[in-house]
Amino acid sequence: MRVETGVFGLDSLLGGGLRKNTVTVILGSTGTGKTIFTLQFLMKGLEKGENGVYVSFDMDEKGVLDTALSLGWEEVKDYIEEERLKVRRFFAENVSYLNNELMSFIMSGSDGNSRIVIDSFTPLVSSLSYEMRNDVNWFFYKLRSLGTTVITLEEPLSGNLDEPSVTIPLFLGDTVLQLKNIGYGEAFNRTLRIIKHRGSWHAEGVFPYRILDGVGIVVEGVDYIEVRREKVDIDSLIRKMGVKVPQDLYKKLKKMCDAGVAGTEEAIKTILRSLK
Amino acid sequence: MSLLLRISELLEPFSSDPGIYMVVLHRIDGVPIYVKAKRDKKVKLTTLLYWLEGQIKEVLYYIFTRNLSEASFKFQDMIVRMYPVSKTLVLSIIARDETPLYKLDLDLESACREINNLVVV
Ligand SMILES: Nc1ncnc2c1ncn2[C@@H]1O[C@H](COP(=O)(O)OP(=O)(O)OP(=O)(O)O)[C@@H](O)[C@H]1O
Ligand SMILES: [Mg+2]
Repeated sequence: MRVETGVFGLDSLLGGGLRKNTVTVILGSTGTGKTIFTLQFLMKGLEKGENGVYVSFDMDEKGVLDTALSLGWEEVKDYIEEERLKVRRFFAENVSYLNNELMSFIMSGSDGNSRIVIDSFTPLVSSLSYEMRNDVNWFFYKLRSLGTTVITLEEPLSGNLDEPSVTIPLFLGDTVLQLKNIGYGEAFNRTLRIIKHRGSWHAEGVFPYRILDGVGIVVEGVDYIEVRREKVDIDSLIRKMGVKVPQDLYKKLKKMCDAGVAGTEEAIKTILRSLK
Repeated sequence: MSLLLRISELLEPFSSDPGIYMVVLHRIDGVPIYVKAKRDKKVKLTTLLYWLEGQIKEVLYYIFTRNLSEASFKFQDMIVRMYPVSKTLVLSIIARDETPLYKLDLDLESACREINNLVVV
């Protein structure tokens, strides 16, 4: 089952959206739109009657409200009043890693189908060492049982991603999206890249995005993926190459053709050649 | 139509030239925005693509400070030619060594100008 991201243009690049009860990591340096992304994700769920939990380390309820209002999303106010959206600011100094207060706050607003946001995860793991991989694993495991989660992760301006505080969440997350802004104001300066999307097809490459009043983040490029889709007739291809294909392999190739992504024909030819 | 699609339409004709192995539009940080490679040359080109990603920043700097319209390198039996597109983009053409690129130069430069118009907002 898929969960719509609420980010325009993105779901088709993810094969329909996020997978339900997974943890997604949004990696990006400062000002790339991570917070806006998470708000869009929550808004989408709230619109559909789902609940949302927002854990912030920068903003209290008012700060979150102000950010939403600056983009024109007045409904947020109602969602908070109705208590369908729970917002709380935590202070990194006081939250020892993965503490009870944090978990019980998240649990208090989740029913298994909720949308959960942690913006950002970085203060929680900044002093992380490799031995703590198991703790993060446990935490993600717990989050998956509570709903579909999006956490943001600050990309150091140095571009160095080798710190355990970055690599561990990236490895353990189900989906990783990277937002980048190189800041000259040209069309390709803001781009989104899907680094991984466990259990699903996803578009490869980098896709330009914009941040716009009223709608937030809009990702371009779906049409580019669509025109590159391939319709491959598996039977005539097999006949043309004159090979005998075992039944179980045939089934797999057929499934691949149904998906019809770019490069299908070439991949099938490679496989068939190896049978010769 | 999205930018990516328009750019791919502009660049598609070049990659069908028999002497050209690969067409890449690189961003200044080395990220390839658009790549089109000849199927049978992909394996051979991979090392080159990695190498290029690391060179883009310097090459762009070089091109801009010297006001060049293009820069060329030899790499094994291939030639790499790079054209500035904008402050943050460079178009690279990788061709078989003997391919006479001067015939394509004009077309490539005009494609670069068109892409420039699209991306500079
Ligand atoms: N109404 C708007 N119209 C256009 N762009 C906007 C608008 N609001 C915000 N932005 C852009 O979004 C950026 C801020 O986005 P956001 O706060 O989501 O970034 P972030 O990645 O969370 O950064 P931080 O490091 O502060 O957490 C701004 O720098 C600006 O470029
Ligand atoms: Mg933020």
